[in-house]
Amino acid sequence: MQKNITATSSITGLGESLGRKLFKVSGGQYYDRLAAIVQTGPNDIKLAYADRPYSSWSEWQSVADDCDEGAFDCLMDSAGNIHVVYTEQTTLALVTKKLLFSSGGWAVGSKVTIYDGSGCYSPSANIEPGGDLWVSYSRLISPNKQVYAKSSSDGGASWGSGSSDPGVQISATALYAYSRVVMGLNDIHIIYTLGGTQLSIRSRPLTGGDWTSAYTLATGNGLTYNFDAAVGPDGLLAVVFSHDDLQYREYDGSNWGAIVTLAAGSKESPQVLFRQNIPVIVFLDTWAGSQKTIKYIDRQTGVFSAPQILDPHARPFDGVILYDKVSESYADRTDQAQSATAADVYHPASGCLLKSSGDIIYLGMDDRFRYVEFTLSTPGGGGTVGYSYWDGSNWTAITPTGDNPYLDAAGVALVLWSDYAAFPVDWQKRIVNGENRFWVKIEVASAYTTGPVADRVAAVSFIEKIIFRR
Amino acid sequence: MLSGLEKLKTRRAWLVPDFSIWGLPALGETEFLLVENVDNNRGVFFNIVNLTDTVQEVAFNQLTDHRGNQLPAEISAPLVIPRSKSDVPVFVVGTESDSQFKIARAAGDEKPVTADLLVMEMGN
Repeated sequence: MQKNITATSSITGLGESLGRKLFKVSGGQYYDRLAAIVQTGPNDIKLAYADRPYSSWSEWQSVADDCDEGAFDCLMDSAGNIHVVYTEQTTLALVTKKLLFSSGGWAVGSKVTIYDGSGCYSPSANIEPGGDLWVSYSRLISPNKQVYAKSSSDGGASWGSGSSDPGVQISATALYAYSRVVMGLNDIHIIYTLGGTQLSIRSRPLTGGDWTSAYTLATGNGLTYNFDAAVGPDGLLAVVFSHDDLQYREYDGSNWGAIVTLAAGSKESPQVLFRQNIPVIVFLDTWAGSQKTIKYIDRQTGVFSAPQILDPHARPFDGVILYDKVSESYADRTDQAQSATAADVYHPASGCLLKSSGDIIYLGMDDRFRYVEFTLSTPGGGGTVGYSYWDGSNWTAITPTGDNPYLDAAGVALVLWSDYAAFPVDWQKRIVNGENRFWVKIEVASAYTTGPVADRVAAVSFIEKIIFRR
Repeated sequence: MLSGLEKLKTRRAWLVPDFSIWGLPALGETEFLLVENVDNNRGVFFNIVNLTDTVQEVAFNQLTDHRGNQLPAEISAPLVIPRSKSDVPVFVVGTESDSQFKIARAAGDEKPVTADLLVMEMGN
């Protein structure tokens, strides 16, 4: 089930770092209620919530209108209160607001300054089992940054020794620094990247004491904010990170394991989830250009699986069938639509996707889909097409949203339905050229002077960021 | 009330020996937010999906009992009781339908697990 919950004019929408933005109430009358916290504008943070099946969301409620672009993180405490930590846009001070959970909603509390002595970036927030709040952030000491950590033992009302206290210095100095606070069974961990070349960790017992020396988990180029860490029920600390490849390392309480390469190539938004004691890694993988699929890897069998596509509705098509009216013939171009080979998606009879009146592109999948993107080596010219789906009795016309529905530009990105909740209830499978699938039919209404030819066709969109509930 | 003939037809049972179970349990559903950019229009979406689809679906007529007989395609109100022949637990996932069931082994091992299946027709 996918639901379009809001538009955003923010560049990031969900923040730059891979923090927490989706929370579930874990008990009581409002058990399972989900709250989403989103940057809906460059400076605006808002909250909405929903109950199962999460198809209807509340009105968006303002949390802050003074947030620096992309610089916020959140946590939920055991009472369902949400603490939002963000960088103030004008002062670059690190501040927090407590959203008090009451009668099923969240009341926004007043702003508390965590640190205002210098610019603060990329906050990460977490909470000890005992209730102490922790924040790590990148402190600007121009032109460089250092990771610092600071805590609150009174539910976020006060932090350290006051707003002039930067907290504990965690990292050395570098031009770039990003961090993540993770709670273990017995320790608090701060995992951070420095200078884009190093991933390190420092830890401290929950009961207090000194921070350990920095331990280098990995080195390489491109180590920025694309990393995540989580602790499983058995205490296993798992760290996933992306630079040249997507890699993984874990700590069993005594030793760090070797670096494991999960997938070749750089990936985005990697995150670790635990299902019982099984680590599951989710990430964005480039399909072509800016198009991305959401994939996951798990270790159910004791070794990591090959990456699999997570969302069955957003992936390459199972069937791309071209019908040429003049020759009255079908051509299956499914493999070509998925391949990187240029200019190979065309009907052999016409030399293009479609051209004459009555020519058809059938796009089919075993699951319903809401999006189609054409990468055209030759954009069409002079013609028009109509879009329809099979309702069990007839082809019912639809009007996709997006530029160039007549396939007359190099890149054609079309939204067929706004989200999965908007799928027509009567969309049914039909046999086309021997294949029984959910089809969208694109038929020439007026003939083209230049027929379009494609490099690729897929139901894969440009996903910029994913944030899992964890 | 069952007639005499129906009574005879119900509560049939089959023993399916040495059945190989490779399926794994689903890891449950997971929720997430995503930002999609279409022609520079950004939308935030909520999504909920199930992790893993490697649960093993078995049609009754794929099975052969210990006497070498193929099981029928349809069994009325079936009950499948697996017995693992190793220390790896196996279990039926969800509820059996009249034509098929889902089965999985516990996570933690790459290899399939061998089990005996007792298939019982409970009747309506």
